[in-house]
Amino acid sequence: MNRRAFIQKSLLTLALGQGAPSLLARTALAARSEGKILVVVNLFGGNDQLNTLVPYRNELYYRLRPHIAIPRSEVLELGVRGERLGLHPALRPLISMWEGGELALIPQVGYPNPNRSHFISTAIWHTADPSRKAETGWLGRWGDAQEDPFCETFLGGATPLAQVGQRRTAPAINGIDAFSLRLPRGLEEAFERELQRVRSGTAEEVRRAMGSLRTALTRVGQLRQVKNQAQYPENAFGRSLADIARMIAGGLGSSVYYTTLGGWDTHAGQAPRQAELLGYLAQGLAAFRTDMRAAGRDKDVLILVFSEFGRQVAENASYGTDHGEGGLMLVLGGGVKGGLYGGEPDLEDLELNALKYQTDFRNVYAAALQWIEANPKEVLGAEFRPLALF
Amino acid sequence: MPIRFSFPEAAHLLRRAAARGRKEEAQELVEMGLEAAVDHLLREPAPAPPYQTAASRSQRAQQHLEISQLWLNHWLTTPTPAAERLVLFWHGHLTSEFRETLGAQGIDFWNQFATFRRLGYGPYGELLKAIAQDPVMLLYLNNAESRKEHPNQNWARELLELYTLGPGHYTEEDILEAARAFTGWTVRLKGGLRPREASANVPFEFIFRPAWHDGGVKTFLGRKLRTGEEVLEVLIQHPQTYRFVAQKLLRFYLTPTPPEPLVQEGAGVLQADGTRGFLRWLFTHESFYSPTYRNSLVKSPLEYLVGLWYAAGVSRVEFASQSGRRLYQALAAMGQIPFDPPNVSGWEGGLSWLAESPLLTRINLLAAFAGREARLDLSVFMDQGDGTLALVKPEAQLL
Repeated sequence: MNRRAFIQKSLLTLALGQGAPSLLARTALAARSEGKILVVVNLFGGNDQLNTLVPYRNELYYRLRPHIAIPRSEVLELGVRGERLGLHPALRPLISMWEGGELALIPQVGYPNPNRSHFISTAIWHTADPSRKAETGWLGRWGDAQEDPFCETFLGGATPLAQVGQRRTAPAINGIDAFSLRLPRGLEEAFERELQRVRSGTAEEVRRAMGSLRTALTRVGQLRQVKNQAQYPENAFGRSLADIARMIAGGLGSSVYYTTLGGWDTHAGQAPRQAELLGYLAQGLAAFRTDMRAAGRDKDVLILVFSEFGRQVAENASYGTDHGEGGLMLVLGGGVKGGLYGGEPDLEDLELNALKYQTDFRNVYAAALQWIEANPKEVLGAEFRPLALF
Repeated sequence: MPIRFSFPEAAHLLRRAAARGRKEEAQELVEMGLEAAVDHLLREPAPAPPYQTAASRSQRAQQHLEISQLWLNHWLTTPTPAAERLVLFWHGHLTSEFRETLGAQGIDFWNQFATFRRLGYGPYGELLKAIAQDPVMLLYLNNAESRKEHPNQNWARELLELYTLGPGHYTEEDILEAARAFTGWTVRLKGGLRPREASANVPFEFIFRPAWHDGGVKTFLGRKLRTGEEVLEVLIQHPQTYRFVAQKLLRFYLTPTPPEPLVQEGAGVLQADGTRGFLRWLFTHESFYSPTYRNSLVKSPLEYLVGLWYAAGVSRVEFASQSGRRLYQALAAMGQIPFDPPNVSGWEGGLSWLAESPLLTRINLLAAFAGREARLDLSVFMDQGDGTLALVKPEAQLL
């Protein structure tokens, strides 16, 4: 344990103990808040890599996708470092990050023996275990070794497997502003009383959930004063990124924030849907980084974007694409070493119409874990060489 | 040994079967005795009211509100509420998402629920065949656009993974072959109308387009066949289908972790006697009444809301009003909008309902009950339901 971690831990132990003065609690929070932060964005549904990071100089790409390929004239060029690839036009808000060397693009990320089920593949990414034996998530296992129940936070309704550990599950906060208990006094007092009465079985599990809620109400309640500087997309994803920015700026103290953007399962009518979603993603991320710069935290925050798989190469009859294998990851932030981590995909060497995976996602996870000063081997269960992303 | 069937057992049965009840109903069940009580609960579903809308085909959000309200009010008032909890089960199993099924109208979803109601108690194979040709399903999983040139794999994949065998019992090739077999299964507006000329009350209907169909031989699960009907028949004969569905039913009606011997036994009953036979078997099984399985399920938001409103003597929700709008938003915040599961595998359920924000929404809903003690009857809604303050007990969240 390094010195800062030691101080954090001692202060937090004090702060969380009985009757700790609030000054100490604030000092502990402040000490934590200087650490590095990981923000994970899960694109549920399987984002299509080929129309996100477009091989626009490859004739075969246009032949295999006669109706849904991104026209050459619309592709955002990436210059020499992007080799023969370009970005979907809806990702324009990310171009300045690419040019500033703060956006890493990692094509064809996957794992051995790829699974094309949304649910199985998502579980593999969440547990970081392609053998499908692990019952806890990778960030949950990291959280198990932390003291603070708010070491990680999920923005949304139900915490994903990635943040479920043996000891506890990351708190799920759907939004800061609505997060307050609004009960008449009698019921509120009864609520507090019932919290003290230990049960057994499922009733005890519910009581514990009520206890986690009680803690969260106190911690999150302090953030209502914090305001965003930037404009986010007007949807659940935009609001969750906006709230993550407030949580970081307000010193909630989590080292990991996790959120999702769904709807990428474009079996039919892919073009307008994917463009809309990529737009939300890029606008949201750009706004978030604006807020991080305003809070002076941009260099501390690493954002990791993934989807459970990429999609097949040849389009289907419904102007869409079916489930594939390796997919695109994005990593960005003020401290990130941008660039292309992998080459142009080989459209002639396919596995049942899908791009083969090139980079194991656990090499990216290993880097993300190093970012938050965790030991990748302990969390991932084996040695994975971290990608040199920072 | 005969099962003891007094008030606590009857309340447990009623809560599990229907997610709704008051004291006098549980007492009536006690008087009937267990067997008759179960038959009474599982009788033929009362029909739901017809759905008619003044909204246009593009006003889908409005239609979604209308059918959600219509269904909840039906669940609150029907003499056969167990059928409605079973509709919720089928809806979470043979899923379709309103927001993801562009083109489909409120009437199409309402018709799908009518199919769940009409065939839900019968042989699983009959329900599966009907849903395979259900317009909402064909649109939702894109089979409606699947042609022989490039078969769309979405329906074939979920049919195997989520609706019949479950993962591990088929290969990627089986999915491709099944997708070929289902090409040409599509929809059109009733009477062949075009969407522009039809009102939102005109539903879709199934049609088979031979020109889109790949008539070649397919190899599916080791068998040679040609048509979608044959694929379904293979799956309907497959014992794994019944193990898979029986396990899901037990998770919904008994415990999140059903013991293997019960799954095996239940699978046999489901295959031989259909879903009504399965539920009759389960509800008269001594395990169903053992302390291990009482209070072992978490109410889903819809079950919580229906149970609570019914316990309070409320028989109607009105989502169009201001308070109704808040209620609908609360359903969203708790994680369960009717006709709109989060994804194709339905609602995860269990303790995942009780993460911080959704649980907070559940508890904040209780403010509406302060000062309304007179009509509140919690004797079926929950164990230890002694007065309004009991609503903040953990037991209130359990089924």
